[in-house]
Amino acid sequence: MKNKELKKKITINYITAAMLVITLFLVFFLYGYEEKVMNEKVITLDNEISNLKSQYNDLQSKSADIKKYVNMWENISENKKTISGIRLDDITEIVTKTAERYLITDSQIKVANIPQLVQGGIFNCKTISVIFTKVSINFSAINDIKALMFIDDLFSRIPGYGVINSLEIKKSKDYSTEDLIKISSGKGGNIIGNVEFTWYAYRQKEGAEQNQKTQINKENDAKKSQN
Amino acid sequence: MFSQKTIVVTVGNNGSIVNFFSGSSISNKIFLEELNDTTKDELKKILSKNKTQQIYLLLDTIDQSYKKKFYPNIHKQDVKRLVRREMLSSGDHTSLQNFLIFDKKDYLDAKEKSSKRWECLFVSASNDKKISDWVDFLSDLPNQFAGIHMMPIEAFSLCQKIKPKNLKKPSEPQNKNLKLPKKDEIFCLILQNKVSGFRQIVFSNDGIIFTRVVDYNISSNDFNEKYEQDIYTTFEYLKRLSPNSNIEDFQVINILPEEALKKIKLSQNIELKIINYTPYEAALRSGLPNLLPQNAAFCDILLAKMFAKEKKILKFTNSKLAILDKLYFTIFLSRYLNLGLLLAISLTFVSMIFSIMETKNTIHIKETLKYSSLGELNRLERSTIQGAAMVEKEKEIDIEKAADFGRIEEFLGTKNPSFTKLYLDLKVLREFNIKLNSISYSIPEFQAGSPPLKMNRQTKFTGDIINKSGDIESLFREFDSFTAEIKGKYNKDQVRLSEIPRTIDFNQKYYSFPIDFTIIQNR
Repeated sequence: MKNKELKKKITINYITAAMLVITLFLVFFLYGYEEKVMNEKVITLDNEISNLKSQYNDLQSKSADIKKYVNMWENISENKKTISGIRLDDITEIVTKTAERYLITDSQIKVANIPQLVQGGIFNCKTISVIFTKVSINFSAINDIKALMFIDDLFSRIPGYGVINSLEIKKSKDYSTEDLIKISSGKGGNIIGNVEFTWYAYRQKEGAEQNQKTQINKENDAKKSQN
Repeated sequence: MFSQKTIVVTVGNNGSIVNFFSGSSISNKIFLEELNDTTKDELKKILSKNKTQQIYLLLDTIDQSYKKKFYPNIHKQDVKRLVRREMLSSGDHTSLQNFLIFDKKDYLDAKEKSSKRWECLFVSASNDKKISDWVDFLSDLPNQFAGIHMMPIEAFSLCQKIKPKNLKKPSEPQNKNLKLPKKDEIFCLILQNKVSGFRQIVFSNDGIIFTRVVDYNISSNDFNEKYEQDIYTTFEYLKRLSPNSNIEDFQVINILPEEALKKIKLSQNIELKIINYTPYEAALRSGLPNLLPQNAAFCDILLAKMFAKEKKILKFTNSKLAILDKLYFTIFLSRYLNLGLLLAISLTFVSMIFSIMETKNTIHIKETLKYSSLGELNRLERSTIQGAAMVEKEKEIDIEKAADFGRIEEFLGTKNPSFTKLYLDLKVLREFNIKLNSISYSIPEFQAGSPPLKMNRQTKFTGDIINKSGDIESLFREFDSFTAEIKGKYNKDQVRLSEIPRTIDFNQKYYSFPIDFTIIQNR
């Protein structure tokens, strides 16, 4: 009778032991799972913090850039802020006016192709698109210095930027006494020049203007609500 | 499991006492003349309140046999096996049997030890009906029946407690390296128990040697005579077992009632060394002051308490008890296993909680850091982009637009050289009388769709060098000077110059000579 009771106790004890072993495994499993989840969270947070720090550093650098560009903006000439794109009328007018200033004659302008979009690197702008085309100008000048000054002045006036691909200025013939007299009176042009350049111009980026307006409206609304 | 409460049942020929010990005192004691159904029921009732306490059966019966036997000097385990085999082959399977092997004496030298035989004491007690009834009754109780023990053997603990300390002090040898042989001290404990009457138990320093039940009548006039006579008889018996025994080494310790001690003290015997204690004094000396009343006449309770308190010397068992022992041992193991598992679970759980708390704290810190970083980022964003609003001609300029324009200005604004400046820099041409015919400029390998950061700019000048004297030496000199001047001036750039051919006619006059040079700039 007592033996049975003791055996029963032993059985209960071993069942309890088995349950405790299972509990221990469950606790271990739970421990491991919790630790894994927590560690993943810590890693995610670390990554987020690292990302934020990187963004902060980028922004600091951007802040310095913005300061630089804000200062630069004031020094950029108006024609370089034009976003009218490439228009032949504009370049013709500028060439004509500049040519008059430097006694340039026989200027002929040729636009080689239709404007194309420049992409990649710094040309991926947020607010504007950069387009380009090739332009060739032939002209006659009374001397080499006038020709060079014409070129320098012309490129400071054109909307956007012109990058000279080639320039040639040469004397068409040896000067005679008559030629020298003509030159001294500001007439005649035995210096012939040809300049080929890539004309980069700005165009308003599609959607950028709309976004800008929307943002301004939002800011105005916010100001109104604050008032 | 850790309770100090113990129940000791002392069984003798005159009756039995059930002692309920709690700490150093006795909480209850029941004397039973015989174990019958009525007493069993009463005991069951009482014991049902103390189910968790272990029960020991301490036999103080007359019919106990102590036989000494010597075995050759073999390994102790082999001796044990040998003794067990002998016990099994003895044919007596009814009585309670066990044995004690006394260790080799520490004070013996190596030679003596090697020649020494093992001393084995066989102990047996008849398993009569009275004992069987008790064993069966105790085995069926819910309490753990912890074992059967012999009172004379276990009384050694009491003897050790009350024996006089440093009984013999051998004189210090002059040569300390010389080890004097130490003789065994022999103690004869004489006591009176309620369940079995008077008893002599003879102990050496190792344990029991033998025991005798004696019969005295304290009130009788010949008590002293009989008492001394019994001591001498015991000593004579001892001498038969150990011929070297000396009466001087024989210490008698009485634990007897005051009346008996008074008579013993009147004895004129100076040969016997006798120490007298009343049961109360013995309990006091054993560190149990609250166990017995001062007028206590018997030692049953003291012996039972000392047995319960001290280390048990020899356990007797039968087949039923052996099975019970195994089952209790398994329960004990499984309990400790469960306890260990509970501890492991608790520790893991606690460590998990601490670990999770620590990680949560880390997460909290990191989240705080994240939000502070986010805040800083937002502040910086506001101060840089939103705060850096620009107004030009009463019109707000988008800062992003300014940045876009600025970047392109940086890149494309420097692509063209200033030709006017370049021309003015070449005043040196006049010094060398060079008349230019053409100026050409180009940027080879330029791709308009993806303009490079740096590009090769080639500016070529073509003309004639004027040599007024027409002298060829002057021409060479002017040419060389010009070459040196140009290369010095454009030392950071690459300069290519035409040369005067080696086949030139030195006899001819050259008033002018064609010249061209190219400046290659990588910017």
